[in-house]
Amino acid sequence: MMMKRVLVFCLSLILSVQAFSQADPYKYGGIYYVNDFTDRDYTPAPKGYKPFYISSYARHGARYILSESQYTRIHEALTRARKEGNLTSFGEDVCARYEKIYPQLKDRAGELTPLGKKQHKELGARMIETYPEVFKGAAKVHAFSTDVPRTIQSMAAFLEGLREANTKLEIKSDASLADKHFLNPQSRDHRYANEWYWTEVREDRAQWRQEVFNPMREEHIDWQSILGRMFKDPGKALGKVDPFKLTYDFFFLAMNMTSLPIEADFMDLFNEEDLLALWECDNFEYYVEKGPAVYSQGVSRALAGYMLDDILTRAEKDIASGKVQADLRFGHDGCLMSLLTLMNIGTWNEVVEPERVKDVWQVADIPMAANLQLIFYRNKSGDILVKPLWNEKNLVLPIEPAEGPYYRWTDFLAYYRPITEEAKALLAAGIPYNIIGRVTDADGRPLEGVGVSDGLQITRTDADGRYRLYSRKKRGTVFVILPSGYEPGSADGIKPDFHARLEKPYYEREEHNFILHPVDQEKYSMVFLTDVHLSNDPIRGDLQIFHDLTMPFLKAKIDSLRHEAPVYTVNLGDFTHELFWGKCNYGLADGYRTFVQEGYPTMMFSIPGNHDNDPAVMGPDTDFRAEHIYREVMGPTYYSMNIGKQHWIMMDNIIYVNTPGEGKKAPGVRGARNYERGFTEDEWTFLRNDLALLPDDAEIILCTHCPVIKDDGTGTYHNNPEETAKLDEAFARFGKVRVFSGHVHDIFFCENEKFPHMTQLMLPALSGNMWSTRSNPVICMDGEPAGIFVGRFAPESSSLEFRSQMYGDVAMRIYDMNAVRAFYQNDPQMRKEIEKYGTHIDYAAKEYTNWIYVNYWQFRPGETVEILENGRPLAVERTADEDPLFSVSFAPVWAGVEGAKIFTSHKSRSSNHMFRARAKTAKGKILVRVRNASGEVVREEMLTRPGTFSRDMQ
Amino acid sequence: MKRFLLICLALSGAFSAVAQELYYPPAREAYQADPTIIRGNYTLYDFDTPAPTPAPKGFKPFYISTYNRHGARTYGSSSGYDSWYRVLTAAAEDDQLTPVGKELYDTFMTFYPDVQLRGGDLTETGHRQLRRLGMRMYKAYPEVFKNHPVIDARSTTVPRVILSMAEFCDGLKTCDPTLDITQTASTTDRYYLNPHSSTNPHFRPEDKEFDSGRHTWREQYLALMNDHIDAEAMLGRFLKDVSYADKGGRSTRMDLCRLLYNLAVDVPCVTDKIDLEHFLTPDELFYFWRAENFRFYSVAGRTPAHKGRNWALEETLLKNIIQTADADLADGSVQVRLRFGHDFYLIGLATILDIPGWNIEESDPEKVDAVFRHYCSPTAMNMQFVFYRNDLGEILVRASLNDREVRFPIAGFEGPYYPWTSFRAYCQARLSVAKEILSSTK
Repeated sequence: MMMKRVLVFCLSLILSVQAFSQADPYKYGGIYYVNDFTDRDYTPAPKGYKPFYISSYARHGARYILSESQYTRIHEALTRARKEGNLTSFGEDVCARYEKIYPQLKDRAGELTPLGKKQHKELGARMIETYPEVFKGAAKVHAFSTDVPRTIQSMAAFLEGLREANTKLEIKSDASLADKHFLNPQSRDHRYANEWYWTEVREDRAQWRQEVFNPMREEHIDWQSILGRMFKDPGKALGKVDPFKLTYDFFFLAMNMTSLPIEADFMDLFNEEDLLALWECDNFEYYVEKGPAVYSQGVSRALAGYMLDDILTRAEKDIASGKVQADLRFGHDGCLMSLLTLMNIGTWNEVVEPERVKDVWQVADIPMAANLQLIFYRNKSGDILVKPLWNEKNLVLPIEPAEGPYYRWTDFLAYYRPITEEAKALLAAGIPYNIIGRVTDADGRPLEGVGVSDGLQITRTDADGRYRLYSRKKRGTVFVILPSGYEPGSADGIKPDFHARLEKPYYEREEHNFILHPVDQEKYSMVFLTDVHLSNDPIRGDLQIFHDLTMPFLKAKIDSLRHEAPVYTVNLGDFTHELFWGKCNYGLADGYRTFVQEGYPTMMFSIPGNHDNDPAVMGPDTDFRAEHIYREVMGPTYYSMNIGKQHWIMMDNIIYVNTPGEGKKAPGVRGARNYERGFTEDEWTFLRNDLALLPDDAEIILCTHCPVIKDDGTGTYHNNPEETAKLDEAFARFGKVRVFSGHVHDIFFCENEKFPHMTQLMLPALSGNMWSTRSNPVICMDGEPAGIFVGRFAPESSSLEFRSQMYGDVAMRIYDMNAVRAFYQNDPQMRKEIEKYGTHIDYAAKEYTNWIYVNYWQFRPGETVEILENGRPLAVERTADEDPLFSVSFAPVWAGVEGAKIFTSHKSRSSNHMFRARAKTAKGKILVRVRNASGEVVREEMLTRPGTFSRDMQ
Repeated sequence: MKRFLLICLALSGAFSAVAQELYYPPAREAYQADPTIIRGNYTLYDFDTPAPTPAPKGFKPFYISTYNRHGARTYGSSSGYDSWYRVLTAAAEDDQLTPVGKELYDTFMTFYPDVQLRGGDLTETGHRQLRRLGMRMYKAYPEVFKNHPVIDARSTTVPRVILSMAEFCDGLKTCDPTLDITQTASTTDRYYLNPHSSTNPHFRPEDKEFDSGRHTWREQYLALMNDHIDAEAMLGRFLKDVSYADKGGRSTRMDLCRLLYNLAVDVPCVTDKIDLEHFLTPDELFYFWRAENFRFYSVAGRTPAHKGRNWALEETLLKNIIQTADADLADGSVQVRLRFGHDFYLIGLATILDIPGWNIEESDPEKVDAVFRHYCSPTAMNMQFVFYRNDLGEILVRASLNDREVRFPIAGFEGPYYPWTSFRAYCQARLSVAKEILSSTK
């Protein structure tokens, strides 16, 4: 029964789009439509009932175009094109027509037209004529208008219509901001104005516009054809104006003409197809801004709750007191759309996909002077009926009627009061949070004050451990900023469960709870891994080396640390290598699985390196999209956490570019795999928010894949030195920030006075030079043995120690260059390499006789290196000369090996920490002594000569 | 009441320089005689007006042209009410109100809900004033209205003004519901309804700058308060700890005090149930009024500070009155022209017309109160030009300001009835003076 009524209503209200054009092409103008209201219903009152009170809401009458800038833009586009000879002959004609009437349009945007006044005066006159019982004698009329001139003038005209029929009426009118919440709840300046609604629904940067509406316009509206009829070069005609804006300016100009006291017609600017497209997009925009579309999460509709509340409350009060006979409200189109939606009328409240909106929503049904009237009837026993009218036609409500179009007031209240309260409750909650959850310990006890982030903003849990965020879900993640003294759980013992991937679109709410476990972190150890570069390459046999050498080394080291305190690991990126993902069928997930299968013994906190990006991804937003595999396998690409006394900030400083078509080719690689070093805007947002929550005495550790600073030149590895300066500045209020990074595969401590708030350690690659130095399988390019650093953090003192995989705690290697010379002279592979490529230093040369080279990889800023021969100091200099062990161990050994080309490089590698001195003799005993900045001796190492040199030397 | 008698007396006299200086009684005496004068432009319209001088025999009214200020309103901005709300609630919460402060708090709170978010709104009194003026006009000129005149009403686009226009017209229609009135509130009329707007072709950035007073009269305006009023003492009567005054978010404590004066003198526009004026001393009221009086004089009056540009800008309004009259008299298309706007522009209109009481230059801020009184620009202030005609087609004009006849220094005529041609020539001469000022000071 009820279904059928709704159907009948739909049929009467919603025409097929085809029917539109045949009936009246001006209906495409949507809210610009002018209805003559001649099709009206009058259903006689049920027996014994008389009208006694009226409550209404009416849109202002016919008006000029909405905004003056629309008239100006058309004027400027046409006259400029005319001057530039950019008008077609049709365009000349349009220009002449427009310029003729422009003086009559100028400065009148938004103004009520004579027709608009007439509409309202007639509405008033008809109301008093139809319901004289309500307006007899000195009946009291209360009229409310928004503070917009055309609306106030509409009210005045309506009241004039009443006045002409009864000069005794006591009319009270008002147009105050104080009443705006129930007259125009969607405005931005009333007492309950909803800022979320404005930023997330109304403004140009709203997400649904970017994701749905703008593409819809691009797809449907052929602005080039439309403007091309008038302008020879439509692009040129636009100047700086948005093409859709100008197209719609012309569209609304044409559609608005029926409202104006001006004889002119611009309908010939458009064909049927254009009109349909322009209408559909315009109509859809209203559906989101004012209707039930999912993107506003009920807020657009709920705003009408203030209107419905006023209608119900005022009716109850005025009926009870009998002091006011009519409450008349004057406002705007959008408010009526929301009201019909909230009142669940017809199909106004139907949620459908964008393409179907035109079948359930047609805003031409809210023409100029559109109005909702509720006529109240009463019988002698005091029973009250309501007759709702929409544009003076009977309106079907989703309520069982008492009789015909009449509804019991009690039923009306019973149905609409809860809807009103629900809407108000939704608005009172403020922001429609779409990520919610709770942070607790394993027993469900709440953790208060824990930071939770969507990668941009950070909120904190309340006393009940609850957090809530409104997020555009841009980063696809939500994570907890671990509080000190707690660690997350982990399903596999490695990946920490401090984050969750977001699963629903931004306009749907999702819940993510986190469980953290208390742990004593007064002391703890951190293992720094970087550039692990597992790749399943049979040529290098990296997985075998990892299994035989590296994993036992790591386990042994971690086991020894475990006895003292909790141990965690940070992985600073380049966990695998994307050139081998396809070639060796071994992706990031496989690398991770190897760690799980080998039973890596601690939880590991990771950030991505350049080789963790998917080299098949190119195009817009490459940096974010190329991280998809990383996010899937590892989690968020940046975050922060508190462990013990330290605040760890884990940042991705690779901005992936992947220029199409260039660079090394391998399966799955489509671009040059190039990247910039720096932070994205999103990361800066997060970083600023994160730092803002820290006290001045916070001890900060920053982990990045690429180093941030270097000790010379621009002083920074980041592409933009100003960004590094900005970072340094951001750290200024804290103690010196320790930066740990990977990427360069070398150990190097460095500082730079340009960036005084940071000190940096570049870490050795766990893989050495990607497991490729064969007889000494894990040497870094700078010559040091590959390994790890371990940080031991304790309240009083923290320490940082290096452990090489093969040789333990070693700090330097002293070369007797006479031995190196001999090797270079005699090793056929090295000779071939030098002769073929000429890129390496030829240490066979005579000039290296009696030189002592000291590769001191644990060099720290401020230290001095002394070299003594038989106790006598030699003149020491620092040199960038390459490390001979690495040079002989890498490129030459792969000569002629099939398939090695992809990882082999013949480039010379300058050293960061090589010191040298020329000895007086070939046999003198060498002592290397290192003093720190205070002059204290911190290391002494001896070399007995003649020394040795071989590929498998320590 | 008394002051208007004085004006009338002065108006009927000769216009020597001496007479001009004696135009208003000394401000102190005026205040003692009528303590309500300190309400300034919030003064309620006085409907108790003298009967008009009968028209010369054979002359009947046939055309009306007016400019009307909106009716009583709340204080111009809601934040003014909010400032005192914040100060008083913060002090109350921390028990920092003196006994007088508590009394102020109680009084203010009974009233605050009625004015919250209503800054600048037309009040019920304002609605009634304009409706009454409409009815009064209908009754005063039945000859004009009985012939079903064409009535053209224009208002600025400010809500209280549009509502004022609607009420005035409703007053007319209550008398005769068949009247045909066109009401318009359009930006296109702004250049003459609000001559101090950028739509006035004469209006220049330095005029805007002058209106703000930033580099000109504002310092003098502040001195008029600072030299005579002790803001700390005034606040100390309400607040145990005067620093609570700073919760109001005003630029200075004096500004917060000035605000209380403004809110207090506006109260009669809103309600007759409370009184805030007694929270200020008679001296405070007087000196705040003098400062405000000076401000009005500076923006709209005959001040020499802007070389006359501020009132010469009224050229557009006066010209509109003359030109529409020319056209309407020529083709008979409109019989009643109603304009609705703001006090500044009516003061300016009286100034450009060189009406006694509005036409004296004074550069000493301390002496401005002797030559200018902004209580003469009450709520619903209006100027009407009523045109009379005899059977021979001769036309006379009678002008009134706030329903009191105005006499102009037009040689050969005592007024209040002037031949249209003479009055028109007088206006044209005034327009020439204004144009000369505008062009020579560009």
